[in-house]
Amino acid sequence: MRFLEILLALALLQDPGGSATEFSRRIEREAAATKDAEVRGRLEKVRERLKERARTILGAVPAGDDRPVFMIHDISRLTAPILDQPFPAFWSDSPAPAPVAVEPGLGEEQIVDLIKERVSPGSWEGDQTMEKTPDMKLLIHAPPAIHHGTARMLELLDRETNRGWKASIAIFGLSVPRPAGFNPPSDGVLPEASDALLSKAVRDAGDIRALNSFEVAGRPLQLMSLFSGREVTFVAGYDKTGALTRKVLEGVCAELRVVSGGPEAFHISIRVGYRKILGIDEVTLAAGPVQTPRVVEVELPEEERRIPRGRRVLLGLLGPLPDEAKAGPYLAVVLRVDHAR
Amino acid sequence: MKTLVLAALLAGQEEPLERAFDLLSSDRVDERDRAQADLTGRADRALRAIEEQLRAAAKPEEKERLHAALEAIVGGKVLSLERVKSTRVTARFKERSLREALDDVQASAKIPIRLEGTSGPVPNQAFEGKSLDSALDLLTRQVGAYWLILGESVVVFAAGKVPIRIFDVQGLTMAFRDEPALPLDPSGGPPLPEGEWRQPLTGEDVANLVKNSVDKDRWEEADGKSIQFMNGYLIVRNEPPTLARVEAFLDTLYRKCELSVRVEVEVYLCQAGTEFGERFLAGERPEGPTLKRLAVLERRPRDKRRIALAATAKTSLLTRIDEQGRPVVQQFITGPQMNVRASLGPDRTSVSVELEAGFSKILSVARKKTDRGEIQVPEIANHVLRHAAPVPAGTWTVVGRFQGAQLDPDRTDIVILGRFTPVE
Repeated sequence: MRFLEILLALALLQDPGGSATEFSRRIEREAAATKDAEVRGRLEKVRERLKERARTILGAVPAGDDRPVFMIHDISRLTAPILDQPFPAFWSDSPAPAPVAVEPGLGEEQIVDLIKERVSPGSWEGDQTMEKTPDMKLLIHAPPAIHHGTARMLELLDRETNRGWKASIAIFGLSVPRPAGFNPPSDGVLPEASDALLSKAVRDAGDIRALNSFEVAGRPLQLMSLFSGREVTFVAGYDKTGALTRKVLEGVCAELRVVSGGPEAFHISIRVGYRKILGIDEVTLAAGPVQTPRVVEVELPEEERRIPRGRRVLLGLLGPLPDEAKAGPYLAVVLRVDHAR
Repeated sequence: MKTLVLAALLAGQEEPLERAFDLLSSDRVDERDRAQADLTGRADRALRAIEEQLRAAAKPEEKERLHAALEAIVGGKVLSLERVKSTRVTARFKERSLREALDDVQASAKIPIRLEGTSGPVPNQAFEGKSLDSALDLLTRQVGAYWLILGESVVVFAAGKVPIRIFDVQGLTMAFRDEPALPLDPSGGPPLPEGEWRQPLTGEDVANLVKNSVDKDRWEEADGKSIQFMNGYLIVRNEPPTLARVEAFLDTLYRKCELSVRVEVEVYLCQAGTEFGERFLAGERPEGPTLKRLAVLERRPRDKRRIALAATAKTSLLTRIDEQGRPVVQQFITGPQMNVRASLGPDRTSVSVELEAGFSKILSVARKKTDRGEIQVPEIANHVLRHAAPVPAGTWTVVGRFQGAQLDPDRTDIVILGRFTPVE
């Protein structure tokens, strides 16, 4: 007998579908065979449990079940404040200001009103209730279909007002200002044919050379940043305790904010900076040598414009940098933005 | 072997199945309760195992087999989200109500679709082999409805007096300002005032523009139609065709409000007296002994927005030692720097250009010994030009020229070329 049980358990591990079906049929057979009403009742409860869970796994909601139940719906994704993520250290030595949180498009009140207006309007009285909890959740007492409707409505609101974005920012070094294949029309949208050219730029050192590329993602209206490079420390002076140092960040930094710009476009504001240390000179004082860096820098200070979704757009062309920068000498900043999901 | 051991352990923890059935008829209530709980636990475990395998299943046939097992337990075919997603729909509607459109989708999908509530006409649409869930998403979105699977049917809920849609208009209402102006002075100078923030349109402007431009006479509040601006979003309640026209109008508004200009500036050093002909302006500008490119800068700002263009070198020099003997390091910013504002004329054939440009270069750095120590003394050439005049749109024009510049001993003229093209 024990051996048979082991075999059954083994079957459950290897073929859970077959075993569950077999178990369900066995319950059914036992219920049909018994003359004891209580035993039949108990077996039917087990069978109902099986059916209900199987339906849930299949993602089907039973129709006609009007018994209200309590459920919690999380709305924190929609209502959480939008926190900017800047990178101030690249632009200035001054201490970074505290990040600012922006309120999202819809607040709790509006969400509650929209659900009551759209999901079974007129039924939100008496037994059917919706309470806001302090941790951005809705406690709803309603039949299953209303819960499914609410979940669906929250999904739609998330899609309408909280659709994230993803962007790729690439910096190309150009040997001449407008090399063949890299001269977009006045809107700056690079033709799709240039994709192959830019992919080649990653591998080859022709007229177009890929210097840096980044991927970044955020919520609507959220400022996101990225930096790639290194921190160089130099001696800027002396006091009683010894040498005083300063830091310079060398590399590429970008800060990007994206909002909708219509059905197939985004409105972006971006700041991109490229900095390279060409050398560090020294002046000797009585206390010791003081280092003075020579830096080359180009920047798109506050580029702000509308760009089409999913297309590579040339934002700016800057240069020439001195030969010793060994980049470019012309730099092109290319951006592509799309929906995150 | 591991599986066998695990199975043995699993089996070892449970009462035999037959005993659970036997105990259901026991004289003792607690034993009957225990047997029922045992069977319920087995049911839960069996289904949890299916759920886990379903999650891990990579092959479609494996998923199908598990779905079939679940349907056998439920006692018949169940309409699942998986099935809705894999069902393809081909339909075309023109001037149809939502009910009629859903009837067409139902006929193609062969899955019952019920409409709860009422809805007016849907905008014209065509689906060709589209998945049923995407087709339903598109249709319901346009009429502010949503859909669910309930039992064996898809149910579309078109609740409320009129459909509702939320439009993101943050790009239209977001404030912008001129870029911070560059000082055009190598040693920095006093900080320049920041540009004032300007808002292209307020939320109220957008709402009023929509109401006055799209189906002007179809915004009766008594019918539940409304337009409300909130935190960058327009919440619009109206009939589906009007909602579709609002979407198209907003797209046009975006295009009109975000007029921009492609600003291209090239700066050359050339020999004194060099004349530039049409070929030079047309684009043939080879560098050589008479011509050297100093800057190539290109941006696409909004119409009338001042931008800053620069490709600079920052050099830190120890220029002073203070009374306490501390070195004072000063930063010098050299290279081409420009502040440019391009304003499109009413017919877009001309552009009014305000440009101020500075060109500087550290010519030499001398080392000077003072009684407090050695300092660096730079000699810097700086040339600043200001220009404000209309230029023809879309063609290269000479927008400025200096003579006697000291950046290069052989090439003493600086020529600034600009092309300002409206972005279509």
